[in-house]
This record gives sequence, C-alpha cells and structure tokens, in this order.
Amino acid sequence: MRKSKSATWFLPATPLDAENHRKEEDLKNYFVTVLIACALMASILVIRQKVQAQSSDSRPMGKASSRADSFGAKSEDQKTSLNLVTEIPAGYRDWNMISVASVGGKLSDLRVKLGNDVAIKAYREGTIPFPDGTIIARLAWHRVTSEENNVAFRRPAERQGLSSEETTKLLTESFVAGPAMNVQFMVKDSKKYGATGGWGFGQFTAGKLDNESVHKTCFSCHGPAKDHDFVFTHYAP
Amino acid sequence: MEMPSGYRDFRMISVAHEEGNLHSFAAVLGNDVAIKAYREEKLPFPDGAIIAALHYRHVSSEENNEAFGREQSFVPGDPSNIQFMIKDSKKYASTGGWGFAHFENGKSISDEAKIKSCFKCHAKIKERDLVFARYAP
Repeated sequence: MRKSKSATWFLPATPLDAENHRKEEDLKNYFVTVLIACALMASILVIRQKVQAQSSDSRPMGKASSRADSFGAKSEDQKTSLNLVTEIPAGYRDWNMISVASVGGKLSDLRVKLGNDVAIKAYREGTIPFPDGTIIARLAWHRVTSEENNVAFRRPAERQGLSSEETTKLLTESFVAGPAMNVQFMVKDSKKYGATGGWGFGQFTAGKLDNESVHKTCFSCHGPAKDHDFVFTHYAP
Repeated sequence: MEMPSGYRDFRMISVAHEEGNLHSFAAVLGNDVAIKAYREEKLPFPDGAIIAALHYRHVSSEENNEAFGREQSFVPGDPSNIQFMIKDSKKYASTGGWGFAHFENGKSISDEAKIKSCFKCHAKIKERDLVFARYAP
C-alpha cells in the first residue's frame, strides 16, 4: 500500500483526469521556479563575498588592520598615532626637484627634496596647505669630497688668484653626494593622518621602513614649520 | 645659445655643496636623454643630452636650525647662475661634442674666454665624457 503510494508519486501522470494533470503541471512549474530562484540567490551571495574580499585586499592597510584587530587594538593604535608611511611611493626618483640642502655636524649629509606632480603644482602656485595627494621625498646621501673633481679644480682655482692653502681649503670643503643614507617621505592625507597635521611620515633605509622609534619625533620636529603646513623646504627657483 | 626650455622640470642627477669660499649649492638636473644615459651607464653621452647645473648661494636656515637645536642646516638662497652642457657631436666637435653655456638672471654670458675656460676644466675628466657629476642613487 505504502509502496504503491510512493510509486504513484513519481510515476508519469496518466491522462485520466485533465484537471489533475493541470494541477500537477502547475506544481512542477512552481518547483522549477523556486529552484531557479534559489540558485540565483546563492550565486549572488557568492559573487558579493568575492567582491568584498577583493576590495579589502586592494586597500593597502586592509590586511594589516585585520591582523591588528585579531591581535588586539594596541598595535593599531600605535600605528595611527605615528601615522607611518609604510610603503615607498612608486617612481619617486623621477619626480621634479623642490630644493636641495646640506646638514653639517654629525649628520654631514647632502639632501634633495623631490615632489610628485601634486606637490610641485602646489609649490609653484604657492598653495598652502598642501592638497591631499601631495608627496614630498627627501633623499639624503653621505657627503664626500670628490678626488676626481678636486684634481681638475685645483689648477683653475689657483689661476684665479687663490693661494695653494686657500685652494686646499676650497677643495676640502667642496662636497658631492656619496653613498645613500636614507629616504624620507611626507604623504598628505588630511583624513587618514588627521592626528598629525594631515601628514604621514616614513623613513626608509636601503629600501626598508625604519623601526618605530625613529618615527616618534617626525611630527613634533616639524612643528616649527606649522605656518608652512609643517613643511620646512621652500621651493628653489 | 638659448636657454633650454623646461630645464626646471628635468630630473635630478645629483647635488653638490661648496662650503668653503664659494658658499654655493649646485643641483644637477638632466633631460630624458641624459637621465637614460646615466641610468644605463652609457658613455659617451648621446647627442641630445642636456645637463643643467643650477647654482644657488648657500644660506643658513634659521627655521631649520630651530628644529635641529643648533646652526647646522644650509639651504639654497638666491640663484647665482645656471650652466648647461649640451651634447651635439657635430656642432660642438671642437669642444669634445659639448656646448657650454652660462646664464645669470636669465641672460646668457657669452664671454668667449669664460666659455673656453669651461671646456678647459671639463677636458680634464675625459674618461667620463667631460662630465663631473655622477648619478646619485
């Protein structure tokens, strides 16, 4: 009895009763529609999840912040307060020159400040504060005396009336850029780096971000330049 | 010689500082041909290479020294002159393929004795195609 009942359930409908047949067809159509709707919803969910995963990967801090979340908020707080620039901006060595500088004393370096297009435009138009997207790169090298230059310069210097001693002084205080020291960046993003005047700071030695303690003084040291949006460097004509 | 247009947008080759008698900064920039030759270490420089030396008087920066806590920071002051070397092996064959030019306040100083002294001094670094500045990484 039970067997025959279950058997009739899946047996092809016999055209005994036209009304019954129509009802069965309606039921079939209903199930097919529900099945298609379910499949559609499932695929929409899968696509949405994929899109969300991709967009969080493309954000530079996406992975780091989720990692910080799982280890507790402390490391994330430290990163925010220092506002580190964690990656070297691409193509910075091709940027235009803002100015040069030299710091004596213990540092004894030669420096060049380069700016991306946003920075150079702001400098040339005298725009203060610098707009978001501004990046300023400070490249520093150990300054060295150049033997090959000095060999060539000695004679002309003496010909111009300098004594031998004066010439020696001139040449020993004549410096060129030697080995690279480090590269620093200031990146303007008034929202992301709101706590430090809108600037993110990063120092890289041999291509690697220096440790956090190096960055603790960046913002406080730039304080005296507040009137120039925390930027010391002025544009050299 | 005309001042090469757009030189202030050239890319940076290197920087120099003369602290002794001249009190001068030099920023050395190069056009695309020059930068390419430098990066590929191509010597002699190909025709079309232009190297610009922007010279400034050096001044002590009060603003910067305040941050450093002592007087040790020097920055460029007024520009003193701009010098160019332009490579054209035919046009400037008699001076090693380089044309030399010196501008002050945007005006060319075409004093022949001065231009001759350029070549004379640069000729001493023949093995580097008369160019003193080396590329800073």
